[in-house]
Amino acid sequence: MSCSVEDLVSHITNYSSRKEYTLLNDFMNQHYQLLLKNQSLHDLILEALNVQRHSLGVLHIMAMKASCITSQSSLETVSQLMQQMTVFMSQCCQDQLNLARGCFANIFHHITHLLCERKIPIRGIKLMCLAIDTLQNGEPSSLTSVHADLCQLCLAAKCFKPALKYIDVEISKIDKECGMMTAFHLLSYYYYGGMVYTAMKRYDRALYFYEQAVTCPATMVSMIMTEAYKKYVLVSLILEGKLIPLPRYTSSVTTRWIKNYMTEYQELATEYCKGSATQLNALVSRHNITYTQDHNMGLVKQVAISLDKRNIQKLTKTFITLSLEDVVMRAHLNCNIEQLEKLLLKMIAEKEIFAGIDQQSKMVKFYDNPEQYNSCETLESIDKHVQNFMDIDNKIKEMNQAVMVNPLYLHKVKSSTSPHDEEFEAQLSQTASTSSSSAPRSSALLSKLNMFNK
Amino acid sequence: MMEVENGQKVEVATSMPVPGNSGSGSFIVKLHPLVVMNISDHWTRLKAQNDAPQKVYGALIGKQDGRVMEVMNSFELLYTKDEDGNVIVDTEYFYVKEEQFKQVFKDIDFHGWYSTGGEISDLDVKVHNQICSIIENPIFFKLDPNAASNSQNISVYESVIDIEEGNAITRLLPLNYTLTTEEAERIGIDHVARATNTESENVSSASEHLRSQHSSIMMLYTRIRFILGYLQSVRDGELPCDHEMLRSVHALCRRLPVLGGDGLTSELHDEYNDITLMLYLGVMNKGSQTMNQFINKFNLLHDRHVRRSSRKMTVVSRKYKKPGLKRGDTKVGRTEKM
Repeated sequence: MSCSVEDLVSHITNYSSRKEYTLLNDFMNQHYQLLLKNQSLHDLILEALNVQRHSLGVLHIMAMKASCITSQSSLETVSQLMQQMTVFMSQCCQDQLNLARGCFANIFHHITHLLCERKIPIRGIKLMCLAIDTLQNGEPSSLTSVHADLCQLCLAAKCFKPALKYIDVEISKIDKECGMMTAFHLLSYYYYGGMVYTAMKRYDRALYFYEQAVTCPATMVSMIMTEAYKKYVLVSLILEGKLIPLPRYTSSVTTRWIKNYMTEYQELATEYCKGSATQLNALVSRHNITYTQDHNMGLVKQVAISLDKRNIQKLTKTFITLSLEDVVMRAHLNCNIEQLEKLLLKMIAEKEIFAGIDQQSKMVKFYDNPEQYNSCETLESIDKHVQNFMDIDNKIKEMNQAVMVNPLYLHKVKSSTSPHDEEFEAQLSQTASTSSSSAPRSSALLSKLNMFNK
Repeated sequence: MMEVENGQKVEVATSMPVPGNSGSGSFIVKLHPLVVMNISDHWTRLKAQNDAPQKVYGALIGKQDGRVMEVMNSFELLYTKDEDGNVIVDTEYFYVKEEQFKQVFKDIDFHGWYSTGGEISDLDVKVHNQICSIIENPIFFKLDPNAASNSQNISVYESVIDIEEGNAITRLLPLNYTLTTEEAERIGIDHVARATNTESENVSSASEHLRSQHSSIMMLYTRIRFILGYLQSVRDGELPCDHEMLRSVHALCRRLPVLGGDGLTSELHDEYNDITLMLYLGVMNKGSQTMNQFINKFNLLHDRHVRRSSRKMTVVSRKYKKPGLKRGDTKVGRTEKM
């Protein structure tokens, strides 16, 4: 098979004009290796093709071009590729794109990798946003592998706002991307997303993301899960003051591994719960090396500060007024009065504590939370929660319907002795399960199904 | 407490209770409409069974808080008639019933008794004395089924011991009462009342009433918006300025009571937020139920073995999932389907 430009172009145009896109897809995949070698031809081919009509062909050529760019290539080639991708996305035809989504996403993985290598991540952020929009194709709650890339670039560039727009949406669908979406992308998404939230100090969301990464169903523990667990522990301490136990559906391999290998972090958690800042600091300096290696030292320092704040907050529950020296003593702080005053002022400004400092008598007076929850804002927030919940309820109902008409499910329900039923009934009644006991249940379901099918 | 009222000496037989004035009495009685409903039902039932109106007797239960007595519910009493026609209340039956009620409603006590009929009679006083032996200071509630207007058919009395001519007798003095109810009770009673009167309606008049209120408020709102729109366009210069119209709008505004004080807004928001929170709770409940059904189906579909210790399930969202299904929950889910 000769690989002259004209041949290739004619092939692509023929397939596209006959709208045999799957065939074209197969053809391109077959000759992938061959075409890959002839780098110089890529640009020529691209010039000859029209983006809209021959999107699939263009996409494959671009993919090859992307994989040809190495760390030695010049910056211009990378920017040229990015520009071409932008043009492509603005003009491409979605139907053709749907056949090679994995290929499409792969290009962006390459680009991310190249940009991070060259330390110019910020250039790629806008491109990634465009890519996500194209891939999601109108369903903002579907997860693509480019989400992880976007978060990675945002973290590297320390520019978090563009990512927030995409990670704030709850995921309810995972885009398979023609089989090229893997657990790696999912885990990276949750890990990077959690890091973005941690950087933005939205610890509750960060905790949720880390938890999602750690509780992914697994048969082997992945490195991403381990890193996510470490950050999970630290964020949990900052947010709640204790290590929130992982949910019960965490896979057993993960729990076992955590018990055996995450000792430094477990110790940190137990020490934090005891409440003594000096001991905590001693522990931190002992495990300094581990924390620094994991690049978690910053978070660990924040944990130490949060312990001080938590001790002060405990005092508000016991005392109404307290002198500054007493505060230092009772909260076991090791700082002097001015530092304490500064810390208190900072806490008051951030609304972590409600107090007033009397300069003359050097007393701190603790107030109650003045929030009466009788304002419009409370109403709006409750209303928003209700709306969110109703949306989720609708989604679950849809999923419910989808399962109910699944032929596999119907088959299982109809068979009166499915092994699942037997086991459960046997455990329940401790008698030999008979078909009669499960039949009434199945028939009730069947009548429901009939009603639904009508 | 027998006073010679208004210069009149009330000529009564010794055993006749004093109608007297409807004075303050020592109690304030709050009556729930459920009690009235129960008594009328009792009377109607017996009348239908025996083809003639009968005098019925029953006990009143409720809560007492100092001087305020709230009568919430009632039940019927067994009685026997002896040779003289005196009515003897069956105390044993009463005690059994009281104990049963106490099991369900712990903080509601027995406070009095009721009967039907017109004026107070000797018979009533005798029965009252019997009740006095069970509980001190009972109140007596009399419903007149034949009374024409609404206000005259319910009377509440309390008893006082009077010394007259050397004998201690009980007198029954009328008390004032007010009707009190909760929204739920009101709708329920309305529903029942409607059902007995007109067979077709399914909706209680209370909820209808609220609905009509809502629609009238919506109408008012749209009309005010309309006027507001007019004023805005006049201000923007789109419509010509009509002084007569403006004068009438101004007069309308003047007629509004002065609302919008801070206290009112905060209280309104308080209540509004509380109700919205309850709505949220209700929505959460429904969502949990949907989730439960879905998880059961999912487990069945994917042949997940249900073990005591752990369950695997898809996580849709951490915030809204049930915190780990336990054995009992799945059972509930299954029985639901049945």
